[in-house]
Amino acid sequence: MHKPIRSLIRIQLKMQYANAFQKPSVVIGLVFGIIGLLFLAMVFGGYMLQIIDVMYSLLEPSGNTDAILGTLFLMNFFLIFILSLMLIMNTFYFTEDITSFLHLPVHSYQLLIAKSLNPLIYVYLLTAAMYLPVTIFYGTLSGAGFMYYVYVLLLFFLIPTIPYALAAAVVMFAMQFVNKGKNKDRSKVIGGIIGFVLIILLNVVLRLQQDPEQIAQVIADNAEKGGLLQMATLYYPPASLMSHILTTAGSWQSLFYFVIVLLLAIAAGLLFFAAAQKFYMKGALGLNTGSGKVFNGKGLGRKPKSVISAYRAKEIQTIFRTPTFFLQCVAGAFVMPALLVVIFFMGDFASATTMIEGISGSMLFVVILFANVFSVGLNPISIVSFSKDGQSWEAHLFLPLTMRQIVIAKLQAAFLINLLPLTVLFVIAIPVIQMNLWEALIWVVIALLVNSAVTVVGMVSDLLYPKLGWTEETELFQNRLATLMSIIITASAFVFLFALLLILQMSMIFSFIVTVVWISVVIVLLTYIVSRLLKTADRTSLSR
Amino acid sequence: MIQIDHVHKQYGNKKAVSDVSLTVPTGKIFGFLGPNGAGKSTTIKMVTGILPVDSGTITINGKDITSDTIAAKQEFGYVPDSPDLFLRLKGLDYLHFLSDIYGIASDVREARIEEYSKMFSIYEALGDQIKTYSHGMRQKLFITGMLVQQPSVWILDEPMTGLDPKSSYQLKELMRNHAANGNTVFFSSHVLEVVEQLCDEVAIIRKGELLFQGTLPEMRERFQSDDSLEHIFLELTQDA
Ligand SMILES: Nc1ncnc2c1ncn2[C@@H]1O[C@H](COP(=O)(O)OP(=O)(O)O)[C@@H](O)[C@H]1O
Ligand SMILES: [Mg+2]
Repeated sequence: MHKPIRSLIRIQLKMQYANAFQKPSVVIGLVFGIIGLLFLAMVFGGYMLQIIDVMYSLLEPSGNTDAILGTLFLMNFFLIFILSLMLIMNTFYFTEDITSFLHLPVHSYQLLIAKSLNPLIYVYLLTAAMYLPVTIFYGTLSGAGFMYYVYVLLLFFLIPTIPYALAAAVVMFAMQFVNKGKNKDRSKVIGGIIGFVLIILLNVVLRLQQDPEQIAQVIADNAEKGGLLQMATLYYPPASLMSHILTTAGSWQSLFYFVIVLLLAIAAGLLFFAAAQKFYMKGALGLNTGSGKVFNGKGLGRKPKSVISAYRAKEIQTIFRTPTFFLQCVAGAFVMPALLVVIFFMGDFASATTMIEGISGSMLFVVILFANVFSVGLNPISIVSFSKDGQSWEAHLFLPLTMRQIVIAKLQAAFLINLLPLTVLFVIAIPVIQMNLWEALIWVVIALLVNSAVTVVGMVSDLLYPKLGWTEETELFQNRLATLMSIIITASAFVFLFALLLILQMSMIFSFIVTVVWISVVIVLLTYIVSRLLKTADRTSLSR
Repeated sequence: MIQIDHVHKQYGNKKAVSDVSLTVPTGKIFGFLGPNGAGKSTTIKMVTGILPVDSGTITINGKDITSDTIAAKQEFGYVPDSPDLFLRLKGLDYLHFLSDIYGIASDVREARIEEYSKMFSIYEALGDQIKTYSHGMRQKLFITGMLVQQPSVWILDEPMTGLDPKSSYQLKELMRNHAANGNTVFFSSHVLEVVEQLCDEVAIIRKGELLFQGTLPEMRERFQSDDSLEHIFLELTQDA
């Protein structure tokens, strides 16, 4: 490896990870957290593998089992691509520390390879969680040989590189225009880019859906072995290559395909290199400067607000004006629900509708609940309620604000922002589920309750494990115990609920009542914990 | 009026402030003088409620910062030494936020924001995020915020350090006026000259201990007679 890259990586490791594991409480929390997560993963993963088991036995007679692998590679591509878009915008452009590297005599690609360390950790973790269990399980189902597992491992290192490099190239290409624009109101611009990408994605999906007749024909025509795989990988051709490598593992053919995938990965790497050298500096230099507009007196007079609404406004302004928070908490709100639908139904509204129609009573209810929890639970807004203030937390100590006012305003702000993903999900769900008025009403009530519960959970975990001493916003989303805590609390509360509903198999209305009661209990309990925490811990203790 | 009574503060094993007692009277400009690391900021942070006191009491206009926190905080305005707060807000949003917290009526705040931000020549930058301000501009914004709030007690931590001469002059004028109107002005500095120009009364702190409190003429006299003060006189003038 080049020497500059190595030293750049080393300094970043020092800056971000050096002190993370020194506190014993962090280590203990981490150990328990990992055990908890493993348990949850086993429960959920077991469920997923069961589905795959069923799919395998359904597809086996027609010899279409490789469609499972194709779908896996496809999903992995989409997920990594979207995740990389966000991570790359953050780490390449909007972190504060990037300006401290720009004056160094290193090439853009060297800097960016070093900067890719963190995003790649995430990308590979996600791939490991998704790809490894499924391929290994598939291997045992199909009685695969040694070479299969060798290729599984080799592909593991290759597959994330392609979507990652593509996403990086897209972002670098787009950012040079963002930087050129006079109005660098970044939040709007980022929103624009994400909207743009989403539209392309939806277009692809819709285009392929245009004519169900035609698609049915294609499926019928390709009913022989490999047909379904072809269908599944229409969206992303390398997925079919990768599936072939695994299904024909050991043969010369698979080696040939593997070389092609390897070449594709190298091409992606070259694309990354070219984009870095050509576009990066144009996008990054001067990005974090002000608008340069002279203030013209607009908004000088404003109506006075109450303390809580002034504070809430400040919270929301801060979130919208901080690119990292905007990406994670606002833009992410639009991406995740859409992604949820794309992943689960591969954009196939028709089949989703039939699938949903087959579900009724508490099962439909569980689907609604799950979708809501998933989309709002992924939004980190409440988990950084306090931590996002960072150094500015000090201001709370000399301003005449009570902790009660601060907490209420922060809860309101988080609740309001969490309404975004819920609304997006609701809008997407209308054509998919074709709800009647009554179901829509249930949906809304559930969404609001889930939102309150998740918001309070997030805040509790941030109160317990605040992180105010960051030097840049992205650190907030890295190795946070609070994140882990809140995922565990949320997941356990809801897994219990899901299980209860599924076991009891009640009618819609009873499920509704049980849910409302259960979530209310959770909220009351957590609110009690918050008030206890506020009594014992005054706010100066938060800053240490 | 600020009353500091036998206050102690320790960071770990390190004593930062030991047994400091001070009375900052109304109607006077009070300078808090000491070399770097003497404990000035630590004391001011305890006065403003940012740090808890280890022992001792502090009251502002008779309100105890530890027990009657919110009421005490309503009494003062504070300009921190490193004004790196609320960086993502626009200057104007910050001033409105502050006005809302302190309940400043809308016509009053509009006039004050305009007057003082123009006085400190940051008016044109009010539409930009504080992040893009220079150190001096941030300081001016926080000073403007305090002037919009117009509390009776002003607490400023090394306010002149980042300011250009014109703004520094204007701030001094404002401080004089404020004190002349019967209010309290408490500021810290590590430069003897600033204190000599401005103050009616001085306290000198070194290594967390109060060496002297009194008027300027008293201080000059003591500098000549007292060995320890003569020593600190050198420290304070060398880096001026
Ligand atoms: N957060 C802290 N942790 C440990 N020591 C500190 C901290 N803040 C200040 N100190 C120490 O306390 C002493 C007084 O610091 P300070 O009050 O900032 O001095 P100054 O008079 O320059 O404002 C210094 O020796 C400093 O090193
Ligand atoms: Mg200081």
